[in-house]
Amino acid sequence: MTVLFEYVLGLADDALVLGHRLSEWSGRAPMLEEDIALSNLALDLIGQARLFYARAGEVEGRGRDEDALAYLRDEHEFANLLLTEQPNADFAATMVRQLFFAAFKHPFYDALTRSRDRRLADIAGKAVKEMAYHVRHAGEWVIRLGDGTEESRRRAAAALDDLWMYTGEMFEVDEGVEALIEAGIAVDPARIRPAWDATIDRVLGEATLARPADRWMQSGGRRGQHSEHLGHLLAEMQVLHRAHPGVVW
Amino acid sequence: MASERARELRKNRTAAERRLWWKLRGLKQAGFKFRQQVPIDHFIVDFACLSKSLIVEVDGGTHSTDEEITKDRRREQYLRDQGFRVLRVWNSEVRENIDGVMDTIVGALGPPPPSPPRKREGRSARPGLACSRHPEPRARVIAAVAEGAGALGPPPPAPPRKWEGRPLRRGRAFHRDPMLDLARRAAATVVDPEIPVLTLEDLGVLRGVEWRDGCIIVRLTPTYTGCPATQAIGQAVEAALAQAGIVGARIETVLSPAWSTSDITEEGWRKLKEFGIAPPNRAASARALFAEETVNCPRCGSTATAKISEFGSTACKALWRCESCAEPFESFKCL
Repeated sequence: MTVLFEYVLGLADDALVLGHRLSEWSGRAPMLEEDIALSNLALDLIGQARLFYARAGEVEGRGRDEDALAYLRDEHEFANLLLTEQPNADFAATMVRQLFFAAFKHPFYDALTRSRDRRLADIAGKAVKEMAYHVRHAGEWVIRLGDGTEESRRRAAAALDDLWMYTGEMFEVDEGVEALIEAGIAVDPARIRPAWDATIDRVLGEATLARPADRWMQSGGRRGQHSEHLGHLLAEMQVLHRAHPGVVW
Repeated sequence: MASERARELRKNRTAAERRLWWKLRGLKQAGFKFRQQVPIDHFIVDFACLSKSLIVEVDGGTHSTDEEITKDRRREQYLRDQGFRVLRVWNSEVRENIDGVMDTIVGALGPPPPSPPRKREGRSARPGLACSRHPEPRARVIAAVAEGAGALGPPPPAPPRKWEGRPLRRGRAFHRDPMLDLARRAAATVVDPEIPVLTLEDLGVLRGVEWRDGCIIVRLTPTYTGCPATQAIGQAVEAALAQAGIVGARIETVLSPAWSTSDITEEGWRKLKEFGIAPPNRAASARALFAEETVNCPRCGSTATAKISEFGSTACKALWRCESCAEPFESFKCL
């Protein structure tokens, strides 16, 4: 397995796992407009995942297509960020998770448009426009919840506190990724940090929520070490394809 | 009971006719103009292609009584005497096997009337022109022309020629390839399944039609990566090309440069507004993440509008409400 394959697979898994999580809200969101919005966000992410999987399959060169990569791998083979697999919990947790993710991926994709890997740059060129909407949508909700009722504020603050420890992983790099950064293919997440900090600080400021203090950060997702939540998610997502291999709509 | 059943049948019949009409209209691309509810002497037939003297009648359950059958036979005989060929299809066939029905109709039509693509090499007068590399998957239309015409009209003079599909005089800037023109026209007029007033050309997602390895390639770009319409559009383009007589064309997805709402044409912009969807701001904005935006109400033009939700019924639209005329409306998101 090449480093590039693993890198692209990680990007694909991030998008698919979070996309699937968001799709779990379909038909259950607090109101109709939000139901539609969450499904739209999910669609964007699943669309991005498909493109990244197709690229990963090409890089790997063993004939695995997007379906094989999405449906026929087990949890230890998934390289998504731990943040993306966290349960939806309540609406505040979903929106805080989305804000953390989108505030990172938006500048990340923007930088990836300058990747030497032409295909990744093209995919990022599409995805960056979509992520701008995700940042705005999640940002507006976190502001409304934080600066809202006592109940919404309590939930938003709790979500911030619960999910903060998963934000460190976004900025980690290992040796393989370092080599890709030097080759001009991968994005150096350290350069994304200022933009992420600025978005988070601005939103939390308007939401009158305190930014959690930096502390010990959980990681492992990129290395295939996941929380138990991912296994449940995959079980539901993959069951149809595994029961009927090669099934298509 | 009986009247209820009749009403139901009438309703079904209308749906089937609508569905068939939708398909028959598409044959115009290939040079076959169909009309619906055509008066021929004292009869009104469901559909007719007058240039080919072909009548297509859609039958529901009411045509199966003895009396009806006799009446239908007499009517059919009269039309035949006038030089028409009459093709009868059942409601249920239209509902369950529209492709098969279309194959039979295309077969009965035979070669298209003279048109630019036909003049190429003077001989490829078949509606089905296969690409040399991919003759198999879409060969059905050709087969239908050969067999269907035999069953329903005079047999074709020769088996269909497969067109080798090499572009003539590639590189000559002034040469216009009629096959490409036909393909481009067919693809450009396909409508977006979710915003049916916009054609692919209006939407700006058709990036080009070209020859490659003896095959026509239609290059499309998605509006949003996850937009479910992308796949439907690809299928609709394949169908439109097949109806225009071009089989085996391939769809290629192009990501770069990424689609932007500024790719929507002037015409598309006007149509959106007429349809009641606020068009996107003209300049594709790299607007600040939390900046305010102004959208004019597509009905009354007022700027006193409020955003209800950033996400609408499709990925490309947001929900708005006009404070002046109180109407809710959709706005095409700036991308």
